[in-house]
Amino acid sequence: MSTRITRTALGLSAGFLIWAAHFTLIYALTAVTCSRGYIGVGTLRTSLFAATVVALILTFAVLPRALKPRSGRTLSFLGETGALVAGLAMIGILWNAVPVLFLPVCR
Amino acid sequence: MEAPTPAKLPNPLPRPPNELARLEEAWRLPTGLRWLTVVNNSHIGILYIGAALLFFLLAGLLAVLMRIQLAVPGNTLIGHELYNQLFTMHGTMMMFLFAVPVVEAMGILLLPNMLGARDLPFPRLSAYAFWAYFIGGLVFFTSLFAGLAPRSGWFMYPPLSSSAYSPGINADFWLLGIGFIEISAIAGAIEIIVGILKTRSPGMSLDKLPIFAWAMLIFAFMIVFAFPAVIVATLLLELERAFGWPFFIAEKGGDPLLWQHLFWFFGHPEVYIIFLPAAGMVSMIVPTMAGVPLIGYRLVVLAILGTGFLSFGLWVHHMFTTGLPSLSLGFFSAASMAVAIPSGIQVFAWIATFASGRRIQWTTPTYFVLGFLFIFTLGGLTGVMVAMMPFDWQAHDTYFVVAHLHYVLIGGMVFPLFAAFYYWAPTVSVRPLSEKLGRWCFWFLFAGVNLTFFPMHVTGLLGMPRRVYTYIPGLGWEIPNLISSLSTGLIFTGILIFLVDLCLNFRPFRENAGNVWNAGTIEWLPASTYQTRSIPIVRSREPVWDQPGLAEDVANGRYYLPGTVTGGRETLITSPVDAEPQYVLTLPGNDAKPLIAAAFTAAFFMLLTVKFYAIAVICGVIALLTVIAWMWDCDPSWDGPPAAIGGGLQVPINVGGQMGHAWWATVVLVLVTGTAFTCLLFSYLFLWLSKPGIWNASPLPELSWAFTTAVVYLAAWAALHYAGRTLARGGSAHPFLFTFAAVLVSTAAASEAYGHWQAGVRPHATAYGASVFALASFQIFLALTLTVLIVFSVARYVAGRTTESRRASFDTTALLFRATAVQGLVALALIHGFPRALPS
Repeated sequence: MSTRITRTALGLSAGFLIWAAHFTLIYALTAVTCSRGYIGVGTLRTSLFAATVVALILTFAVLPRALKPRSGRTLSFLGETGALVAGLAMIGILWNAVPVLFLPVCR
Repeated sequence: MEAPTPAKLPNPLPRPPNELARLEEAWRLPTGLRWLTVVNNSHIGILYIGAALLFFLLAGLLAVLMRIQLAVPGNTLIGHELYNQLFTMHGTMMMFLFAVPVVEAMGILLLPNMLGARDLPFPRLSAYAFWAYFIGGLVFFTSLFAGLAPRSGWFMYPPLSSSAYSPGINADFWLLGIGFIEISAIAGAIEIIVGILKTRSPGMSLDKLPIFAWAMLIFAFMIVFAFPAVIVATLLLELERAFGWPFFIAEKGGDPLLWQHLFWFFGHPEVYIIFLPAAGMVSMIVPTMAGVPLIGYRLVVLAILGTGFLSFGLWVHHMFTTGLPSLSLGFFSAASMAVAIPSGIQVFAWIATFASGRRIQWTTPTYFVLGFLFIFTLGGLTGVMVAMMPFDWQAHDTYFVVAHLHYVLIGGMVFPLFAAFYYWAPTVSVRPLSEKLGRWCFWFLFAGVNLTFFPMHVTGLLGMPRRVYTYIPGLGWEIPNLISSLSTGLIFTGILIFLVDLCLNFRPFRENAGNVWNAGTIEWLPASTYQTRSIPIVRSREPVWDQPGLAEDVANGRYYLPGTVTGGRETLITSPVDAEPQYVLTLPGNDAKPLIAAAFTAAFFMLLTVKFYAIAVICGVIALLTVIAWMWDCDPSWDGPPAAIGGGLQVPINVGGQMGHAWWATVVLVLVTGTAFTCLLFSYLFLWLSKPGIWNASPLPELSWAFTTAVVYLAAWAALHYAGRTLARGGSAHPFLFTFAAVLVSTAAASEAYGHWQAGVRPHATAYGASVFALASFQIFLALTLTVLIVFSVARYVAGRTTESRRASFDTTALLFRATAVQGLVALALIHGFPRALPS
């Protein structure tokens, strides 16, 4: 696989890939906990909160690399768009996690 | 890349005398009955759109019948048996035979021109996909006349669609018929991804990619990750119906919710798959009509990427009433609201573009775009309403949802589609369509759609459920239903006007009307069957606006590849990020094999449905042999000099390896099979979560079985590795090693299945057995496919068509082989490791 296109695609979509991982994790964790109870509800809430914080940090960490000044319009475009993706992903991650504050966990 | 000044254009004038004639000859349209052998994207694209419109009309007529039945309470025109078939077929045909195919077809038709390519990279694959879809779709439709149409709703929920409650072959028509139409869509997706990334004009770097191409690229990737889910669901339900493997039967450890998860994991991205290309088309039309470049290009690209990703996180909003935990539903509620942001970004970009235009062209496309903005926005608003879980609790399965989905689909796709027909008709027709008829068509459709579907919000809130064939009077449903039913006449009239317009004005397959709207993108350059005479260098997003004299210079052959180097059809392959020329790809000409293979593939699936197994297998074998004959000509060698495409550039012809188009297609195929495999893993884990008792009670083979199978997979990998080494060195052991690898991988797959069998696991006994054997069967299927591919590849080697430098058939098979081996090892780890690792 031509590595340049792979790196470009990954760089562009990094924010959303982190969002996807976060979403999968919080959904799976909630589903398994509510069905099986391997961990308690309190531990679940803490884990969801922690996962969200980690995801936000990782998405934020995409920004410096994305916004690094680059030569040429194409590379600047790809970097800037990657930064915009990270920004939207942060909004998505935060918004996805908001229900944890308001909703009962397993009812 | 700097756009060259006239003195520095790649190819000088005058052009050699017979250069154009040779180009025209290579791309000549066949006459008479041989017309059926076309593979050129311009012709396949138009056939594809025509077929999709046919299915649109047929499915629309079914809706008219339903609306007549619902016009008054207690109507006895259509009984519930037929009515169930009508709404199932209407939904299924609209979603699978119209919506996705038509936007895919617009891509097939428009993309090569828009990218500066002469054709898509796999012309025969698009021809195959089209014919399979057309033949299969027609046969599927005719099931209505035999009373055999599926009748469990277009999303076919078990247990209703299972054998207990749907005996007979109606449901099988859906499962087998739609299953292979989905495969057709995946073939198109592979084509579009490779085409957009590898066949662009030099200079068309990713920041200059037309928005429609961005939309189609993400659309195609969404198909790659979403369609395997419904294919797996379809296969599991068919296995349950045909062989009693109880994936969805609760008493045996199955769960109907498994179907819902798999189906909607596909189903929700499906509607964005339908919407994104339409939004992409609007992003091309609005700048032209406003006369200015699109405002917020980067934000629109962000929106397209955002829609692509976020839409995969919404699927449970179709399952709000299934009793899942509130917090889980809350995540999906939140995500369903978040996905409105990308759509909103695009809407604001279009409004801003119109607002910044100096002189807007008030044409039929403009009207349809404005109609789209109005109707789609209304649909989006009701979408945010149903995204609220408590509200959806009331509105689920009522006409409110029917209203919402028609507003977003008709508003969000059909209106842009009509805008696109009126907009791009001049690129494929001698005459544009009629402005006058277009306006009439628009107003009838706009009024008709609003008057038909707006009242359904009311009936839904008044409690009218979906899919009822009649209703009692006195509930206040009479007047809204009557308005809806009468207004379908307006929609019908609008479509009729459009058809009249087509008959009067649409004249394809000859010259085209030219750049009547003064658009800026390169699909508007002068073109013929070979697309543009020469492949331009682009410097901006609107090259026709920004590069003076571009049309004339391209038509005179001043840019790259103004003729044909090999005497046959060719296109230029460029690098995926910067679009720098890499090599010339030779393309096939007219060929009957795709049509024949498609007909026998359709016959295979349809004969299986009606249980004529022997003939079905024969047809399948003929289809396979036809495909092998077609592939025999692939990866041709070129012994001549490199191609001088102009400007001093010499590029190779037909490069293989990781730069080659076959490799890229195989990478996408591996993503598809990998997604299907992941869905099977999910099925196993979901059923474990839902019915742990069955898991704990099920036998597990000794760990030694798992280790043995793993070792055989690794040995297969090693055999493959050495087969590759001997190919590179020209050694004679290659065919034996490659064949041995096939034997080993098949043995590994069979050994896993046999291990479970001898431990007492039975696929029809419990859902545990079914999910274990589903994974094992998938691996066996892949191993058999690999065996066929390897035998084919070895035959090519023996015939001298595969050599150390011409090895695409080995490389692509090896990639699929390694992916299969990895999947096999992962499945072993899950099935044998997971139950043992669980806390008891």
